[in-house]
Amino acid sequence: MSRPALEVRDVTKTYVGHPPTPVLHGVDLSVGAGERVAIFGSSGSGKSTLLNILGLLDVPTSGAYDLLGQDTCALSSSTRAKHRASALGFVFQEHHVLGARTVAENLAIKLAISGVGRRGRADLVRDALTQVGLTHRRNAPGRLLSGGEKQRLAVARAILTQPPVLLADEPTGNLDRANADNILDLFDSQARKGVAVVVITHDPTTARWADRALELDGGRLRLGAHG
Amino acid sequence: MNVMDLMHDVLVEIHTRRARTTLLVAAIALSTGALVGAVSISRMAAVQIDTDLAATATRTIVVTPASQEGPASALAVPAGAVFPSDAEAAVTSLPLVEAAGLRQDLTTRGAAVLRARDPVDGPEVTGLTVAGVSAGYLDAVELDAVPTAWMLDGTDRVVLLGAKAAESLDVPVSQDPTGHGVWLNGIRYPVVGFLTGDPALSSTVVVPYGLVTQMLGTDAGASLTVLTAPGGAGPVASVVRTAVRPDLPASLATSIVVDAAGARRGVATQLDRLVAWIGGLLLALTMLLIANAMVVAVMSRTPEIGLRRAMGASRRNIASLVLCEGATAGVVGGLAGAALAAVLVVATAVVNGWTARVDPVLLAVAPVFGLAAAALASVYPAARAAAVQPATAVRSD
Ligand SMILES: Nc1ncnc2c1ncn2[C@@H]1O[C@H](COP(=O)(O)OP(=O)(O)OP(=O)(O)O)[C@@H](O)[C@H]1O
Ligand SMILES: [Mg+2]
Repeated sequence: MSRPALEVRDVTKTYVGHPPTPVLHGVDLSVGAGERVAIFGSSGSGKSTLLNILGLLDVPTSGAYDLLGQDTCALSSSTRAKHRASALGFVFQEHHVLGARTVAENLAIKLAISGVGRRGRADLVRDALTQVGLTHRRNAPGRLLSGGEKQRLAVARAILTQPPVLLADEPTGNLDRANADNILDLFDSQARKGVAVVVITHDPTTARWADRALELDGGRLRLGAHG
Repeated sequence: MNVMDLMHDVLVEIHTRRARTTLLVAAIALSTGALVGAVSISRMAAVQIDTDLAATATRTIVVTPASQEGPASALAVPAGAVFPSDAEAAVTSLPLVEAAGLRQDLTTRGAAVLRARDPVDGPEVTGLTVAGVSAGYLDAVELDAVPTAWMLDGTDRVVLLGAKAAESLDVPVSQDPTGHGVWLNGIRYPVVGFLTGDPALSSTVVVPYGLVTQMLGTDAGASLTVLTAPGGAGPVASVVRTAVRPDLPASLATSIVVDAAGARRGVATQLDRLVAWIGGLLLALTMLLIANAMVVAVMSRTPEIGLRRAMGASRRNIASLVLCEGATAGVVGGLAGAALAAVLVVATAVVNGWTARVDPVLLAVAPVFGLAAAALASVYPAARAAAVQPATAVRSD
């Protein structure tokens, strides 16, 4: 097997504070290009914490994390930001849609941050909206979207720049079966293009969809019952 | 993120939060407007006080034939008859007038060749003025009394020498100049005295006024200098032409010699210092206001900033967004402030009956001032925005 898209080794995370909150106790995970991995676990078990580390939003307390073959622990804040802009697509647990901006503008901001030139933006936005079925809501302000529409917009934003790694925190949580399947199909097509997909979910269907389902329990990952 | 995207985001943000932006711009406009207005009004007041002071401090009026190019030329003043023979007496008898005297320079009307020695072999002395003045003129320029000054009211060929003139003509300055003389246009003029009290007359060879008028055949180049009591320049100036030429006052022009530089500087510095203090306070106040408003704005935008950071915006991107927003509000506020200042200045001038003076440079400075103040005040809010942790921000919606 070729080099994994992302690989964490013995990662721990303890949130500082009084008292300190230990969350991860030695996580090992390796995801190859084109692989679909689902992570489930009880609420508060540290799933979002792990995904934030994978998404370079947070740093582990100890352990190693290689992204696309590069050790990320020594990277500067600005280099981490650059990787977030180009290498990672992230669907947040809270969708984080800008309410004052239209659907299209929400996507255009991501393109601007990623350094995509103005000329290419309209096409990319149109494609992404078509893929998630939001073309008709293109000029609606974000605050008027339904919960499911916001979630689809968040997915569209994550795949917009075709990043090699896609991280999604409960992307199907608010969706009916049909829309949830639609999103999973979308992730499938990404995986077929070689994108490494990590999805956090409470939904057994999503867990079964994945190539591998892992359970986060007691601060460690193990092969889940769903898998 | 490029500059176009940055400006676009800033404009959208400003547009989205119109009410807040309007308040911010209004605050900047008020303070820059008040500052620039205060400086302008202070300068205008200083100029006004100068003019008032000058009117009281000035004591000297100069009366000359009206300009040949002006409408007075139509009056066809006959040659040699600008100032009647009783001109000095008529002016001196006016109330508030202390002295008056005529002067006409020879060099301005005809060649005056000066030599220290015999006209045949002596070299010509240049760089000196030959002035025909009356005895009253020496009083009018406040020269210390000279015993032989009375001779200037006659037409005898005599000279009085200024200090430099005496040196150039090899005449030693002494109590008794008897035996010394200078050659003017080939004729010997005995020296009858020295005018050492006034540096303005130092390079001057003084001869009787009547003599110069005779030699030139006209007094068209003459002027009448009038010394008044303090504060008398204004009122005397308004009647002096009629006193000299009751028949043709329009053939004369008067000018008041302004000399109150000392008082002027004193007033200007005091006002400037006061305005600088008030301006400094306003500046500090505005910057606190801007900083506060921007920090509140940044805090309310924490989720959006966190989202941008999570999507890959650098700290520098985020800081530029906040700085540019502040700077834009600063420029717009400063422009509005300039307009406000202009209104303030004109209103003050109208209320006080002054001449409105608005320095365009000061008005141009207002937007720059607004920009600098707002940008500086945005530094701390920008740092706060750049410090937003994406991991924490994306947890809450
Ligand atoms: N910044 C923080 N400081 C301290 N504790 C934190 C911080 N962020 C998260 N935690 C705690 O860490 C634990 C794991 O949180 P995390 O969000 O990773 O859980 P989760 O598995 O995603 O839960 P859920 O399924 O409810 O989303 C929780 O107990 C949470 O309260
Ligand atoms: Mg979570």
